[in-house]
Amino acid sequence: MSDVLLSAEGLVKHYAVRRQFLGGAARQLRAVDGVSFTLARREVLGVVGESGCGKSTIGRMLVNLIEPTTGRVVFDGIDVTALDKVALRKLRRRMQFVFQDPYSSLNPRLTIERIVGEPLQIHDLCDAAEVMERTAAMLRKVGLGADHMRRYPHELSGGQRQRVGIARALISTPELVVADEPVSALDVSIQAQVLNLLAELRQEMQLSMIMISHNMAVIQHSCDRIAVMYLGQLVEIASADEIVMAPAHPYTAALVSAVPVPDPTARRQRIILQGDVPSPIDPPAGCRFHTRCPHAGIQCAVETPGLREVRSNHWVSCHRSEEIYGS
Amino acid sequence: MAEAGPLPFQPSAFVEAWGSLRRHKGALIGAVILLAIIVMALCAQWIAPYDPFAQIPWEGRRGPLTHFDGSGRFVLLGTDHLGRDLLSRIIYASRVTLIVSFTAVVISGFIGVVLGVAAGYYGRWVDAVCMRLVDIFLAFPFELLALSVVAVTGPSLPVVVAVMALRIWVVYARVVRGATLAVKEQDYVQAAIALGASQLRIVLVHVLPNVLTPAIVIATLYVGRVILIESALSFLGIGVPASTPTWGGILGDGRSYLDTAWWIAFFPGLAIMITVLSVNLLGDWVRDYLDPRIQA
Repeated sequence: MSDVLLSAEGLVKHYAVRRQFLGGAARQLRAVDGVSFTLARREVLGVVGESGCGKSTIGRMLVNLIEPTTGRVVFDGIDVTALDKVALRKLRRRMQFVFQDPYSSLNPRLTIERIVGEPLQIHDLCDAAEVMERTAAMLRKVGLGADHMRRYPHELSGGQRQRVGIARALISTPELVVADEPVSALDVSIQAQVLNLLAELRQEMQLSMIMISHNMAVIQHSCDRIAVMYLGQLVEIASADEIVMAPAHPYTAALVSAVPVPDPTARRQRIILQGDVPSPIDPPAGCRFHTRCPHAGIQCAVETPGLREVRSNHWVSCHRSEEIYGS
Repeated sequence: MAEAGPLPFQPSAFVEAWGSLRRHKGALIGAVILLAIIVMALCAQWIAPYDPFAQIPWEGRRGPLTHFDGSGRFVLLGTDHLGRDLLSRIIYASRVTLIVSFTAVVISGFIGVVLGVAAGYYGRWVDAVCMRLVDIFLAFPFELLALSVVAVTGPSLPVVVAVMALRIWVVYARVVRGATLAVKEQDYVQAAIALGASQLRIVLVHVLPNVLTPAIVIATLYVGRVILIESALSFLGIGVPASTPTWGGILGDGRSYLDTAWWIAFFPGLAIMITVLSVNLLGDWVRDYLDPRIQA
């Protein structure tokens, strides 16, 4: 058993978009453009980036809800992208997904009991009596009582619904959970509760997790390692501490500087990026970030930087990283 | 709805439905009337005061509440142009009318929902084939279709039902396809895929229950429409055999006597209205009852 549970190898997702009615050849929207990383067992990897940078697309490709245009996802030595339908369905017991929107991710016509128990039935893991028992136990684990079992999703609050979503994802004892913005739809006061719940369950059930968020504070709080994305590509990937304390990419530095510090006396320099994110239909040549980068040089507009290891286990895709941040 | 407690008491589905029905007065009235009409249709031969086919030409077109000294008949709703007792005819007519309208609506609903869900869910060629089929049926003049079918088979009850079903399934298919397209993009369908659910399970558990609402609405609307379409067919002579009384048929007969004998058209029309109204009342409730979000 290797230490690597999941690896993404050169994931690419392009969508064809038409310019106008009868308007020439279809162009490609490069939602994700060549992303590779690995996830160790029992590790939590955060994927952070602005909206539209392709992080959700990556999440969905990892569990094959979206098929990658090219590239592979290897889960525990199995090439997920090459599996036939039946084998893929079986494998899904071991890799689960938590959705962003707790209002649309639960079928409004099913009771909580049926929603949470469904994975057990789908994979035929136990008989009806045990389904009920395990459902009740799982709901208790996520902090919901047995009196919620016969209710319908619309009778629960957003936080409770998200707990139901988590219970559904975990009841089949998966090894990998991909959580796509698990708290961004919740009230701030509820966010911490749900994040702590995820952290507890991760310990208890020895989960490996990919947590996707646009919120650096959320990612920082709950992840071992952080991958920063910009316009469909990884710009930096390193341990959470390194990313926060010593970012080695100008974009990461800007993101980190935007995290509010809960100390009114602290002075921290905010890096304000100029301009908007360029369109993923027509990304800039060279380094994709050079149009907004405060440190961009001539080389950056011409040559595309690849990920390279600037410190041990700290990978950056920037020509001038050492120049700017030292090594 | 039972809720509190660790293992709440779950009454059987039937008891629960009855409890909800009792709380909804409109639906209850609809159900009672509909039940009465069905009983009337079943027991027509015992309820009808006179033979609905007995023609007494010299007693034709007499108004409601007429007492005939000659035959000793008392006609509550009057007589038609051939002197037949209108009340008895309406009672007998309920049989064919109910059978035609309900079976046509149910059969077409089944076909339409199945094809609509298939088209919406599977997309691609399934969608293309189903929707072109719908286009063809919509573009084809219904009367022409009915005429050609009846010309080949001759008028009979099953043929009329089949022709109606051919006419209506497209409505279900179109609407249900649209609803399916919307539901398919919902996260709970994506979630079911991520859980590893089979296609069949996704369609039956997650898609179908969420697209039935518009289908139920169409069904309740078309019960009334079918009764009228059937009368149009009868008028063209391609409906059920002319000797069989139907509400639409009597209504069609009465049309020519509207200025001299309004009751011939009025009472079958009233029967149609009451039936359609009760079906709608009941249909509204069924729709709401099946939606847990509205039950509370």
